[in-house]
Amino acid sequence: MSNSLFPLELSSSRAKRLERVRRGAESLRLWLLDRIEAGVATPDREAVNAMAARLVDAQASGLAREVRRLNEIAASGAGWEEKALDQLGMLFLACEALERFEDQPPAFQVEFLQWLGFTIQKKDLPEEGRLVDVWHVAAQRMWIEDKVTVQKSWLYGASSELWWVNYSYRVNDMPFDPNFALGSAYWAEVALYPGALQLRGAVVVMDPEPRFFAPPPGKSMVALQLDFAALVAKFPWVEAVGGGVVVQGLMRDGDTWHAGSLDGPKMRLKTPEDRGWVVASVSGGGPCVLYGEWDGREFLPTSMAVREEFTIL
Amino acid sequence: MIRWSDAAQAALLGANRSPDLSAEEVAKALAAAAVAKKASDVRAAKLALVEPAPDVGSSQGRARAVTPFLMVAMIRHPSLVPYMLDELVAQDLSIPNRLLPLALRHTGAASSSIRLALGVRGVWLASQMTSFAGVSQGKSERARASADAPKLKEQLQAFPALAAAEPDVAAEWLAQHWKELSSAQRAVAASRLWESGSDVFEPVFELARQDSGREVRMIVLRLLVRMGDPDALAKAEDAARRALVAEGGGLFQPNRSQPCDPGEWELHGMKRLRPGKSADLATLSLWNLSLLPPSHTEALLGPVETWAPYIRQASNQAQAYDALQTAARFHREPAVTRKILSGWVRQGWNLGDVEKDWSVFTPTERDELLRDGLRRTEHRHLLERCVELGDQTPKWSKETSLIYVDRLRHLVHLGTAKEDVRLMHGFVGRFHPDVLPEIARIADDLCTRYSNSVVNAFREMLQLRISFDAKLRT
Repeated sequence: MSNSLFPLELSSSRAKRLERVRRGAESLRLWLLDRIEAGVATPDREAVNAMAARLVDAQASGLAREVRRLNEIAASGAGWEEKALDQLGMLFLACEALERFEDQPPAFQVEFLQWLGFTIQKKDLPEEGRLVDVWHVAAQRMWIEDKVTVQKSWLYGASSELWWVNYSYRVNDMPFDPNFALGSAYWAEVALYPGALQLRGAVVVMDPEPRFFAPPPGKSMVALQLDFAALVAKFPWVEAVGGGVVVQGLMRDGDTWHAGSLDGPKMRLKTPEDRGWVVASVSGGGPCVLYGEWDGREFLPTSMAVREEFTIL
Repeated sequence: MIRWSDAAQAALLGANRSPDLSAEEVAKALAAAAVAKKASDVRAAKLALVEPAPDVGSSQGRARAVTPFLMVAMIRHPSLVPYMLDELVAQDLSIPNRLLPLALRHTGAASSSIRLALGVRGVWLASQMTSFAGVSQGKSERARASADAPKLKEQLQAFPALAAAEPDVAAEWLAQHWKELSSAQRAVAASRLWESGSDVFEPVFELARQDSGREVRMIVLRLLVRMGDPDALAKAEDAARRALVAEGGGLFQPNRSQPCDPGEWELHGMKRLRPGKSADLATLSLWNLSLLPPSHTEALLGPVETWAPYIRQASNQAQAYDALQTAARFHREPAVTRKILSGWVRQGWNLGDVEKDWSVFTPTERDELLRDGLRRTEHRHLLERCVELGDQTPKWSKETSLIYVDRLRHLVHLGTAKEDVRLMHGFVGRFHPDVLPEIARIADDLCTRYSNSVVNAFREMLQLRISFDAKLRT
């Protein structure tokens, strides 16, 4: 591994862990083939949980997380079968990639190791290539994972015109560190995690006093999709790309909302509860910029701007 | 190359059933397809764009500034919402666009506060939300929306709002869906239409007259009397005269010597009495009283004012007020309602649901009545009465608010304030702004003493209102 990828240089302990992960992946591969052999039309929650537990034992927490998603997908309602087959495919691809790990480019290897659960300490992030800017927090969502609240924020640099993603964590009543308020802007020096994607960053120095916030410019749906396609080409397991997307109007198909344009493509919106109606209400069904993340299937809006007026959804 | 559909079928049903494909081939095909789909899942539009809202081009400015307070009120303290909406309207503002779906879902489009505060965007959104289509659209669109709406249950939920706003459209809808509704649903919907006080019952009239449900037929009988049908009027008057006798001096009693004719009551929609059962003459005669126009009742029993001094003497006399109140409402004689309700806050007798009748008083008169009642709250039931009247008095004068503060102080002293949930929570939007600091001090005191969910919520509501007021005025 090259020096530029120093944080995840394979020390002897890491090499041993990678061996354990590989053995876990081998058992996952067999499990996947067995399931496909028998048919996956009937979900088996207990079998999924048992496989995930074996992967945790093999120190492959990333793979375990993706296996557990099979249960979430099975409970996700109409159309779960296609999503489940896609997830099986991505898991099988991960097993294949681990078999050929040494043949992959270094940037891919580092990204893949992080996805598998290998961590990089913030202090170990490379010093070169750090970004200094006023970062505008334009999209954000939170969820609870194993009693830890995760805050995922997408930030846009007004000067650098770059988007990056920050993960902050909170246990009990402890504050997030750093705590980004959606719809605020902050001056900060940021280090990006090494790897193929260069999407995730960490704050090195930050002025906690918020600066003037302006909604970042949006991209066309096609441009955002091309960005994501480029990321998928570098790393197929990429979760999502964040940013703003320019919407000409809204379309409705029962309870499902789509963002669309007059004669162009459309994007299905992932709109829990009343959020689709909120988007409709704030935009009046007219042009707007939606901020959120695109996962290749749906766009999850967390905020929006109409005529530069920013609204948190 | 394996087609995705073949791979998917094999994976779902089991690759062991597919002799041409191994599990590994299927897995590889699924992986390739998953990556390819992930990279290119923007689809061509096949749906039509939603018709956009009319562009009035105005920024929401100050309305946006109060969004957080209004949102908290909508979720945690709905009784404060009408106050906030009224304040927005008073400032010529509308509900912030961000909150319109929440407002429509939680408050309902029927509330007068929300209808005024919807604004152009809100009316457009209500027209998009099927449940509220009847309230906000033009007449022809409304009828179409009702016809197109997928669920009868949803339409029925929106019916009271529709009956209040557009009774003619409601009557048409009811006639169209009469046979689809249960007996209980028909009765509720018909009474909503009847309560709208308009003369639009015609499309439903024949259906209701032949209905199997007693409640529905009673509504028809009331309508016949109101429309001056001589036969119905004579029958009701005769039945009331035979069943009640005036004894002079404002007294009247059930006439127990008069036999009850079960057949006659059945004609009126009452159930036939079982053989051997005697009729409750008081109840039946009072029911007849509620059919008669109040002027006929006064001709039978004397002017309503003369009853008041005797009202505590007999339960059937108190019930007669109830019947008369119903009749006054139905025959649209607000002067009679005024006479009844003027004494109501001072008397021990009970009336049924009087909320609809408070409109006979001006806001100032309501405030005066409330003040009078609050001063005399030594009895629990009178306090309850004030709570009911207070609910119908949107804004209290400073004087009334100060009397309330005294009352609250007294309750704190007695240690019972925490039990008077409605007294505390329901009125936060009604206090005069000048007394808010004093009420906030009392709320702090309550929290120190009790710190339970009731008093904590009361203090939270007060703080919410104070913050809302301050933000709206800056």
